[in-house]
Amino acid sequence: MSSRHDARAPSPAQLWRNALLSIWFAVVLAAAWLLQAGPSYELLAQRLPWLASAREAALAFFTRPYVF
Amino acid sequence: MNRLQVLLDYATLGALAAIYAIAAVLAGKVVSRVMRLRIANGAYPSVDMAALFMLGQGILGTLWQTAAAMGVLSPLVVAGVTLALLVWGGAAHWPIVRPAGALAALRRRFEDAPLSAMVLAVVVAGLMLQMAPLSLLPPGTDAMAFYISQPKLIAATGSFTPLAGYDFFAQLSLASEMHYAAFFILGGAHVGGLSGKLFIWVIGAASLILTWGIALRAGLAPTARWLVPLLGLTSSAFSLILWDGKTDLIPNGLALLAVYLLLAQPLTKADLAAAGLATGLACISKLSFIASFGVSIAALLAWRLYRDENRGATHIWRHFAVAGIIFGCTAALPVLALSLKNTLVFSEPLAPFYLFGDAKPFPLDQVWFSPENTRWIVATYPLALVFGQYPMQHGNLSALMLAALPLPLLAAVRSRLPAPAVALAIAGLGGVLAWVVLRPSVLAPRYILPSLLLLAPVLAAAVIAFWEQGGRWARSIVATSLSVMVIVTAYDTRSTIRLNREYLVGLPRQWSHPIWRAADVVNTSTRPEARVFNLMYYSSMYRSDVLACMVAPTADVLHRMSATMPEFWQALHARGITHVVYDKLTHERILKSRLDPELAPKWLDVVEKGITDRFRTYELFARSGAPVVASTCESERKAKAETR
Repeated sequence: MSSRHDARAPSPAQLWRNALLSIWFAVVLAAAWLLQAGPSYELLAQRLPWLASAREAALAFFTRPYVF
Repeated sequence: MNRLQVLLDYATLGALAAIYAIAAVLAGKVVSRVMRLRIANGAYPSVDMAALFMLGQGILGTLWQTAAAMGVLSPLVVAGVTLALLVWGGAAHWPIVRPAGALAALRRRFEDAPLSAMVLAVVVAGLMLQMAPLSLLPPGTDAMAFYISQPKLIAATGSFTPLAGYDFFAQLSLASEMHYAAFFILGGAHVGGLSGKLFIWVIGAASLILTWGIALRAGLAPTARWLVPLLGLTSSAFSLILWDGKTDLIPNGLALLAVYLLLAQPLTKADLAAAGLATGLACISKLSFIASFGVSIAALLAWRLYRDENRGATHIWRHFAVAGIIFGCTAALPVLALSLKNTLVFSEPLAPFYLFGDAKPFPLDQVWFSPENTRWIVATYPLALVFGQYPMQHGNLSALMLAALPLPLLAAVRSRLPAPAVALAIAGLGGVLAWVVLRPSVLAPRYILPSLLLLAPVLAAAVIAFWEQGGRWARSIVATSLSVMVIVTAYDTRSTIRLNREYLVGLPRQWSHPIWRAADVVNTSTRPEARVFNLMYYSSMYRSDVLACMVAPTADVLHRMSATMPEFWQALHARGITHVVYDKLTHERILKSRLDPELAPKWLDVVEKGITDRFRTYELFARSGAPVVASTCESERKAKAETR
């Protein structure tokens, strides 16, 4: 990527693409972090109680009630 | 426990794991020389070393398994073979590693590499080193139930003695678990067990090096190459089994070795033979790989042969046939080793695939969920692999892999993806699809990990191409995502270490966890022929002699115990059982009535000890006038030997 290209203003299509990719990356990483509930999640969940509700909702979607 | 003892334990277990790992490298050298396989090519010594190590450990595991099946697995055999390898290696290859030369080569590599590659290399190495202490933590539940218990029993008996309640598991190849048996023999119950777990970390490190080697041979640029092991390391399906005592990483590493070998340039018959052997060892140690990785490696082999020899239909078919025969012949060798083991132990040469007798077969056709939930899981692929938190799933794929999934769709990125990386991804995808079709209800990324990891090179190449082509915004997205992923992984690892700091500082022989405390009631018993009726899944904590005499609550055993509580206690006494260890949470449902010591016959005292609400122990003391014990551990062992 040349610096000259960097200086050029991005087209609307590029802006849309970048915005969508940013949201996609953020949502995927956040959802994985929330669902895996490691120590970093536990730390934040103590301070932000709504995180637990968000996790419950995500779990309800990704791990539906199961039977063996 | 004094500090000196702990230091000595650390030094011994580290030395034992290192010596055994070197012996595995040398075993790889011996086998590759004898079978004229091409494992190492000298271009990248660390990848050569990882490849030789991976093959060598597979051979050693198979060797120990065969020795155990023949009843000759003794300290003399294990120490003798290890020593012979070290002496041979010492004579032929000393020094095995030249630190000065290796460091100089590393410095040259670093000087030539771009800054981004250097940063990623340091991050991967740092995370991996940070995870090393985790491998010394107490094992997870599956490992306590089987993966460590079974080899501990084999080490104690010197023969392939199936663990009580797990006879059908013993039909599988236990070549991966046999390393634990070797460590128990060489280092004893405490240090041996810990060094066995540390050895799995070494397997993990070698696997990551092989993913780097695959990325190299797939044509990835230096920065993208280092991203591939990072994608593996940030997958909990990889990192969880790095330290919980399970052995899944061993077949996974062998599968990665097979892929690495198939990407050799040029692909010789020696490469094909080596790749076949690695594939056979991988698939026989993890049967789920047959359905998933088997498809991946077949697709990769076909692509490789077609690409190399695209010179007309007649020629290509002959080439396919010759290559297939070479690959298939070496892949069949581990199958023959399994057949030999099952013939010697069970008189069932085709187990676990077909049984001639009426033994309980290993359940190959597993169904984990209801049809409705299976449909949901299949419908949510690939999200289920990254976000799923299903029972028995045990880990996910890295979120970075899912995040990077749309990137190859961008034209500027697609044009920069190396063809071998795309071929790997297609082969990997084929393996995953085959698994979803054949076993839709079994959602466990570790069951299909090599196929999933084959997607990593193309995604890593896409991320780096996006970084290079997408401008400032793209660089921000990639840098932020990678940083977040690495920081969270490092923080979570650090927290787990801090949480277990006391354990890691003291390396106690007796842990305060209720499972251990319950087992200690039996372990500290001085009664001759202490025999436990193990009403819980876990058993690796027991003394070896207790493990050898343990009675498990199999359907057959429970059927023979009558319904009423007095008869239940009487039946326990009749089998010479002195202790019952009971996990109420998991085993209450298999008992017909509540365990009540008050309902024991008058001639039997049953002393109950509550460890926690969940775990309890019962010790049986026969008074005078008690009936004679009908069978003891010793008499049962003799009867079994005579039957054979």
